[in-house]
Amino acid sequence: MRRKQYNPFYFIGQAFRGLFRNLSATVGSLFVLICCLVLIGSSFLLMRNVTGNLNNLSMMNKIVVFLKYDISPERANDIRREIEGYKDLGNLRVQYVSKKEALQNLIDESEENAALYGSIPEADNPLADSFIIEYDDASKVNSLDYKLRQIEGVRKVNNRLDLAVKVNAFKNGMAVVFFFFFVALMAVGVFVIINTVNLSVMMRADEIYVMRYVGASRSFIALPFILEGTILGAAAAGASYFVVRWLNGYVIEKFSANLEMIRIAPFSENQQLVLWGFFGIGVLAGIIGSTISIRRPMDA
Amino acid sequence: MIEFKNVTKAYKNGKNVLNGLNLTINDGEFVFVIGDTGAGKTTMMKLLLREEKIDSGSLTVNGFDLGRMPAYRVPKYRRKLGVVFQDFRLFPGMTVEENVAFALRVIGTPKKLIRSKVLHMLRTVQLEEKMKRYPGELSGGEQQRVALARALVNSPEIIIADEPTGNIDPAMSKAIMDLLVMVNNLNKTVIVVTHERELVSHYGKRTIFLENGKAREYLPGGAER
Repeated sequence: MRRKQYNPFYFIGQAFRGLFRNLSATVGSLFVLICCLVLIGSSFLLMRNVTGNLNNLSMMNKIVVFLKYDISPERANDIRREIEGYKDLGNLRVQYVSKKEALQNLIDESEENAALYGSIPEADNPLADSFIIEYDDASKVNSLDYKLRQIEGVRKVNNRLDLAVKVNAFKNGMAVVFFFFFVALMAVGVFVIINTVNLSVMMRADEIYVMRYVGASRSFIALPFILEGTILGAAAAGASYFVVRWLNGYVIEKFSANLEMIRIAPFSENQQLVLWGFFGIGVLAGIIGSTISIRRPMDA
Repeated sequence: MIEFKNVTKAYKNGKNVLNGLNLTINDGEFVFVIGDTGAGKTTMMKLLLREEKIDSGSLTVNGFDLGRMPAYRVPKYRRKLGVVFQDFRLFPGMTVEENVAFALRVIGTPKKLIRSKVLHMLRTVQLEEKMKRYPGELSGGEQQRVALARALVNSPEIIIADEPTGNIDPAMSKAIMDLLVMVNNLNKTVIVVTHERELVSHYGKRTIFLENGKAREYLPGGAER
């Protein structure tokens, strides 16, 4: 059997011809797609910043275990191993903070009384050795709290479970809102691409008709249109990336100084995620939209 | 060979278009299909092109069981067919040569082969000298010859022509029909759907008269089978 030869430039060329043939529709679609992606990206960054700031609230998902003042280093080590052995309570990260480190932290964090704290001799350090236990599963904190209190050598256990539960509920609620927002905007994007590719399909209806009857494969017929949608989505993704980057920079520049308690993450922390996320969404919307557009004329 | 066995086809509006159609067309035959409006000619064509599926019975074309054929095999099947449309369906923005080459290009034929095949086919339909012209610069008959060349260029086993002379003058109609007869002489099966009874009687070929979704046959010479 003779090997088939398809020129890839044919498909790409046809896709670009389709985009330029309906230039006004292409520009309009691009604009709407960029708006959708910028909204998705901005709300995503907003969510990330809010979540990040909530996570940074002191001791949000952490329990502090204060040890008795006279505890030996060996006993402290045993306690650490015991806590790390609580495998049924989810992933726990245990950090030991000696009373010397605790005092130094106090000095570092307190601008006004740094000199006063600094003057305390090491032998008179009133702080105790402690463990900071970071947990992932808030539902097991009560059990963890109970177990910690039973350990010989533990003086006090501090947890912020109530706040953690509320913050987690808020974060989950925000994620749900973002998800619906994302789905709605994605649907708008797909709809816009359907309309744009539909125009190309209509303009090439005769070609599609003849192609079907001379035995062109479905993929051969569909590929230029799918590429057209994909190019549209990718172009919108690229443009949206720069818009969101600029917006993020603008927000940091304008508001960061006035919001001392709130940290706005620099764009570099999220740029990979935004870039690939936009390309993923744009290309996916392009493929879905154009596939829907081309289905009917191919089956007609 | 084309074989309709008890084929029925009804549309969503409930109208039965084909009611147990039985028909066999052997390889290399030339067949006219005639019938009044609504007799089932178009449906028969659509079934042969696998644009529609049969409701019951069986339809086999050169070993392809069209009733059971999955959608992905349809393009391969259609490469065995050459279709000539009443309205030519030529692309005004392509030259004669490009229009004919289109049928080969879209099925992945190598470039070198396309050139030689197109030239050969344009020679056959006597349009070699006009290969750089656009369809708009040709007469109706010439346009139909381009459409015929496009249908034939992939060396199909069966030619299906839907009212091929519907949009051209009588003299040119005869030229087109002569070309179809010539193609038939190359041992290709030719099916011509037409309503022009004069044309049918002039050529004296096997004629299938569709009526109420069933076939009545006339042998060359006019005798009913």
